[in-house]
Amino acid sequence: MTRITQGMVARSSLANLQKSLGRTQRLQEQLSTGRQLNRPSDSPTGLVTAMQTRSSLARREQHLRNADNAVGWLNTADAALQGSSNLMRRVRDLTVQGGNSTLDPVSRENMAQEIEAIRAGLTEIANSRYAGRLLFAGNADVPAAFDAAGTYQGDTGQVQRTLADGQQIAVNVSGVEVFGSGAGSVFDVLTQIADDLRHNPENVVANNLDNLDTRVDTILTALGDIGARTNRIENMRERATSDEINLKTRLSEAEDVDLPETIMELQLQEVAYQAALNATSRVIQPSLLDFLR
Amino acid sequence: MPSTFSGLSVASSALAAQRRAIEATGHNIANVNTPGYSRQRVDLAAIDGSSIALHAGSHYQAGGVDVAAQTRIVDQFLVNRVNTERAALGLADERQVTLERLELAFAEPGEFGLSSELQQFWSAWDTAALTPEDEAARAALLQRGAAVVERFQSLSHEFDEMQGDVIQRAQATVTDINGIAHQLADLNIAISAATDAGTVPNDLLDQRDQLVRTLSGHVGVSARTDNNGLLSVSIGGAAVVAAGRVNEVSLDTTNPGGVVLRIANSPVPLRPTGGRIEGLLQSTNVLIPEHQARIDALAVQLADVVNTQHRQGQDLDGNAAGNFFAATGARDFTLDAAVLGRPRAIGLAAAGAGAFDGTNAVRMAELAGLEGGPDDAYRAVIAELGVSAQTANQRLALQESLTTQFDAQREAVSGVSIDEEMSNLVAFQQAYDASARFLTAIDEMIDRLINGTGSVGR
Repeated sequence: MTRITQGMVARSSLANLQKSLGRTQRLQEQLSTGRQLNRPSDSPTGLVTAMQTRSSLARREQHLRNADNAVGWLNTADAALQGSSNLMRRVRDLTVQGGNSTLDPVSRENMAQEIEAIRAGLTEIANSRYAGRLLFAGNADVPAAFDAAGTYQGDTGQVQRTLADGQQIAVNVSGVEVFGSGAGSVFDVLTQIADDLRHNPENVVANNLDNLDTRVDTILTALGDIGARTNRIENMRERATSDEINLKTRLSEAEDVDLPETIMELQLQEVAYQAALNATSRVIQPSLLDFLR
Repeated sequence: MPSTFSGLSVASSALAAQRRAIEATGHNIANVNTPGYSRQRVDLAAIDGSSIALHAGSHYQAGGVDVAAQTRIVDQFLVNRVNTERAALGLADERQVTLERLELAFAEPGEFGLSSELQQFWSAWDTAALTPEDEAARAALLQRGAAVVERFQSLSHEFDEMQGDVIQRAQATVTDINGIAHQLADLNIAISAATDAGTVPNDLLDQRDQLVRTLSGHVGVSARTDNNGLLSVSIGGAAVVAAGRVNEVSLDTTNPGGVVLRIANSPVPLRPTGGRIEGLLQSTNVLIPEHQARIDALAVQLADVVNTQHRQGQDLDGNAAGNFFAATGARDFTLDAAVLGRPRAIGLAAAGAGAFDGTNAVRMAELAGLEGGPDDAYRAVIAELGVSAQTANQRLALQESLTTQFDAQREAVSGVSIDEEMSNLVAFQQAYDASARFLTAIDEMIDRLINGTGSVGR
């Protein structure tokens, strides 16, 4: 028969109380930090999942920031090209009007001046910026996309934004493609029209209307392209947002405590601890000494 | 023919024996809470008259009781087992402490860990790619790079501090070991003297057992008692205590193969089989250097991966970009001089592209998800640490329960039970009372014989 001594009872009671208190403390740590993963040893595999998920989440968040920036670029370009297209419509009206032989030279001169003003406006639009950056100059480090003569200063580089892992989208519109450069450029066509209005009014339509329409078409095509790209970005952004929510859910599953379960466990643990205390107080106290006289 | 007075000697032997037993019970009760105390028992033996000559010329045995010995109740197997478990507990405890500190140093999961720094670092490239023309954004990217560098260095620093602490603890443990060795040698001498004088030094033996138990927690030893009751203690086969002599152990921190324990001037290092000191030696020689090596390798890999991509880029002034990081390990991990304090020199643009291009930065940011890249490698380091720490925690919990179990078994044999002592006390006291009554009876008999006999008709 095993002998049981008072010392054994006291020591094992203490050890059990300590263990019970240890479990309580652990649950409390989980509840107060709100996380079940507090150190790698809590769950090495869970931690790796959590770290991977967290890293994917950070990537998604960056992708969403990139998408915001991309939409910003495209919206600004869209507004700029809409403005250009409106101006071009006015130019076309003026050109058709100017071809009318009943017009007097003063009126033609006024028209020519208006067209020159529009040309200046277009140059300004072609040099517009988004957050300080020239919209239509590619990646070039230049003071303006087009100089006063209408020559393109930028490059044909694409400004790309990452919207998903491995998926980039160009957010810029090449200035030289939309507006042309030097001879045949939109600026050149406008200069030509103003010139013809002054000196060659009977041929102003025949000389320029086709060229003008080609340029307008190019701008409209670019606008359509911008719309398509914006749609694509919006789609990707939606996907990234839903990805983000999924990832957050997964992260929370891996890292966060299950509140009801943990609180329940804590309560059970508290009951167990009190029961242990109660039992200890009963077991430790009496000995034969209490009953001898 | 028995002597008239033989009953008196029976009574006196009984009184003396019961008193000894009561005293022993008192000694047990007094030491109920003394660490390492083993209960003592008075061995009573009936007196065999044939071997005893109470009075010259008389061979008649009247009986009585004799205290044959006062022995302590110990189970040597359990004593040894408890020592073994203590040594294993010391080892498991120190390993767990070190691994837990390593876990704390890495600070994962959390926003202060390297993992989070790396994420922000990769994201910073993407952010910089949005505005390559903006020097402020480039400077912010450099800041993030510096934060990664700082994290590596502070991890190294933390490991160095841990090494210092572990060595300090080991030194203190060695001092303890030597102190205990000297006490054991002194006890050997005292026990030997007491044995020579014919007494049984139960309490000294308990003290010696208790010291060996404490010593076992510090360092795994094998303890042997020779026929003369002298204890010898050895660590990995080398004697540390032999009779009254002590060979002091010392910590050799300059040993090229790692920190070792040796007996002064001995060329062969000691190989302890457990104990705190073994855990500390494993910490300083294996656990901490292993993790230092891992983050060193990680620093080199990160620098390599980032530099390779960076050199494919071109800076804001159209020049080919140089290195971004410089590292041969975590300690000297730093931003490369090519970019340090020079935001314009960061190669955000792809080679040959316009100055405001951000393609190379976009490529760089994608390295966050590189298969087998630095992030993957780091996660592997953390996972491995997590598994090691988990194992160490479980090992410690198991060892604690094993130790408790054997402690309890030893206690079951050697511990003092108050119930038992109280019932013994009652038994001995009643025996004492009865012996006294017996003495009174003998006394009255003799009184009757001397004073009440031969006076018929007086």
